[in-house]
Amino acid sequence: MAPVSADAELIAAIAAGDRRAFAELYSRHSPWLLVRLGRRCADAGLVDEAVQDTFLAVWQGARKWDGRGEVAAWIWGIGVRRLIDNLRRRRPMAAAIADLVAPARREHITSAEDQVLQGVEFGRLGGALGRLSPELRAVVEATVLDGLTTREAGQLLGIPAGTVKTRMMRARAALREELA
Amino acid sequence: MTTIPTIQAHGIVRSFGRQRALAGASLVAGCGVTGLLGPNGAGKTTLLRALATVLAPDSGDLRLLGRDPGDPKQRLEIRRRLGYLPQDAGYQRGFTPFDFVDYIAILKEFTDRRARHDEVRRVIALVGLDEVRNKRIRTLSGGMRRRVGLAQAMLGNPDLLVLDEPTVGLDPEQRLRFRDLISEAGQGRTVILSTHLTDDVAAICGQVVVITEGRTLFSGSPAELVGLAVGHVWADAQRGTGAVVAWRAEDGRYRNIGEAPHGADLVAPSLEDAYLFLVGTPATESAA
Amino acid sequence: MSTPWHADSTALSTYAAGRADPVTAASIEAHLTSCGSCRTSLGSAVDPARVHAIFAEVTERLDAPRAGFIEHTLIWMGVRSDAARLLTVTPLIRGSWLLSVLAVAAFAVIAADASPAGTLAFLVLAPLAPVAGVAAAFGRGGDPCYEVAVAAPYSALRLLMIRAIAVLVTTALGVLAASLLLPGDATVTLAWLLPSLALTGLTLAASERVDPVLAAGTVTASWIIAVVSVRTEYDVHSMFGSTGQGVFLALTLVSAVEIWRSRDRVNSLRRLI
Repeated sequence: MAPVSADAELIAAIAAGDRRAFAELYSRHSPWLLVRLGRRCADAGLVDEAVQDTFLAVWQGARKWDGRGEVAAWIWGIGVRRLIDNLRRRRPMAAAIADLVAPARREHITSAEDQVLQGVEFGRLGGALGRLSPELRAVVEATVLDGLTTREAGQLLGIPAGTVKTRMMRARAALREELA
Repeated sequence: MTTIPTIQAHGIVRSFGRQRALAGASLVAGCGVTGLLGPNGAGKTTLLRALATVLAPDSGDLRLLGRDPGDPKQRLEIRRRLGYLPQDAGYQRGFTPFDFVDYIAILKEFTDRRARHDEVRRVIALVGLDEVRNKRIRTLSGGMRRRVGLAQAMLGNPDLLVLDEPTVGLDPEQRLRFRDLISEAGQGRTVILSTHLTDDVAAICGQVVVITEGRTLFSGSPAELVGLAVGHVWADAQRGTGAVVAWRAEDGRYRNIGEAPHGADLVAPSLEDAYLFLVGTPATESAA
Repeated sequence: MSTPWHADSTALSTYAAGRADPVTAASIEAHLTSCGSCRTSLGSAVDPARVHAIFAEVTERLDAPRAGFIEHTLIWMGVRSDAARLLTVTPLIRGSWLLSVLAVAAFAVIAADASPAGTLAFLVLAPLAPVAGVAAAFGRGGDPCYEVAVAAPYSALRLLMIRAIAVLVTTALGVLAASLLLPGDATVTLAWLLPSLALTGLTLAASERVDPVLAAGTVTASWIIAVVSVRTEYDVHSMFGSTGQGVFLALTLVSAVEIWRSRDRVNSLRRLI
């Protein structure tokens, strides 16, 4: 089998106008982007649009990638902001917003494997995160995991930026208490 | 089951002022690739233009796809099933292959944007230009540009494809690639191409028509054309008397074509030999 | 940073289905950012039709010819998208042509002064702008794929009209803008309109038979000769007065009729390359 190109090489080829490299990058990164964005927005149509806009932005901005870090992280940065833009413009129903902050509503069982996963990625933090209330956890995910600014997190969750700050403070306090 | 031949041309006459380009040319062609062979100035382009419905003959019988191109309504029906690549195909400045083929697709009545773009992508992929479809045409090689021309001709899956000297000016490798494309295109449709290179004909044509001075000299299979020259090609140390055409071959001896003298060293004729025998003037000389 | 473990397929499909608990999901997401093989495994858990549909849209956006400002304006005005495309492809809509028209028109204005001779010069030159436009749009340079276009089913007359409109509008706008700067009588600034239509109509009608550049040249020469000969015999202003305008109107109508009558002629090559 032919050697597989690293993502960074694909980006370089895309910057030079290589459509085939672009198609390859798309097939590698669109599935996870769809799922990850789908966890932040229940409207599949908006998610599809965001993914579409993301890869168009990747095509146009490939030259501007600074070459540092993971390509996936760069793509996520573009994707989540595109989603926020679309959300702001479209103002989804309250139900969709509610889904954002309470994914815990969905049925899940923390299996033994899951606990191991949590433990490996976040150490003791994982368990503590799990014990946070949904609104606080959503804020932590948006700012820490998704890398959004306070303002962007507010736009994603449909709450004012001030509320984001307050909740972050409360979350930090709760986590500190747990881990102390 | 007999089917009506796609092209039925008999006694086509066409003049330009005092110059007679076609003086009673005939051609019948159906499915597969037909080669129109002849020296420059023989009237190939004029005949092809008549077949592509862009030029009306002065007189003669012409039926394309069973219809009369002289009647405007029927001509329109022919054009809807026709693809044409003229000799000096140009393109708008600054266009990419996609832009250009899309423009022609509009002229071919593809009104729905999305369907049109899908069709454009299809024909561009057919000629292998997928990767460069958004690069400006002027940055592409001659072979690629010719393929852009073929792509537009293939829009709408035409039943009749008219190609005027499609391989001229291409280097050997490009010519081979283009021949492959033409061969493939000939599956299931009628392709007529003009050329002054017998190589093209030998490689891909199931039927060959030889035309000089506006008249059809021969129509049949390449094998039949070769058959005409059997017994008329011989090798000798010098130019043979009675030779219409003679030239020095690789081995140092002369290859002669014409009326072979008694006891001459006959050689098996090639398609080129047969063509020269028929036409009497070297085709390659007049190919500037 | 490479992690010693990878999310197994069960965890991934649970995650893909949206049924993973929040923290596990967050773990997986953090892991996926740096692990290509897990990303690939996730790929099989996502609906391929959805993935393909989105890529088809992306492809379409990347391929589609960039519609310029003018094309968008035309579509906004109600012109069908393919007709708008045909219009904008006519080189006359290029910025460079518009600029040159404006430059010529400006020159004509500057050369013209308030004197009758100056105004006359403008009125004589202005109608020649669209005639030159016809030569440019219909001649070799303006129509590089002319032969292919003739063999296409699209109505040749319609294409002719579309191009003619493009010519008239772009040159007329340029000249109109310049004429507003002309000193003198307001009615004078419109006196070139009918002559423009008449000369353009004649050029188009002739273009159905001969090479457009030849047609344009002939019409231009005839016009100049007509103006010069009228000047020596009659009051020149009657040429652009109501009688004159009547003549131009008649010429326009005659040209229109002739273009319609000979519309089948444009269906074959009139210019042999």
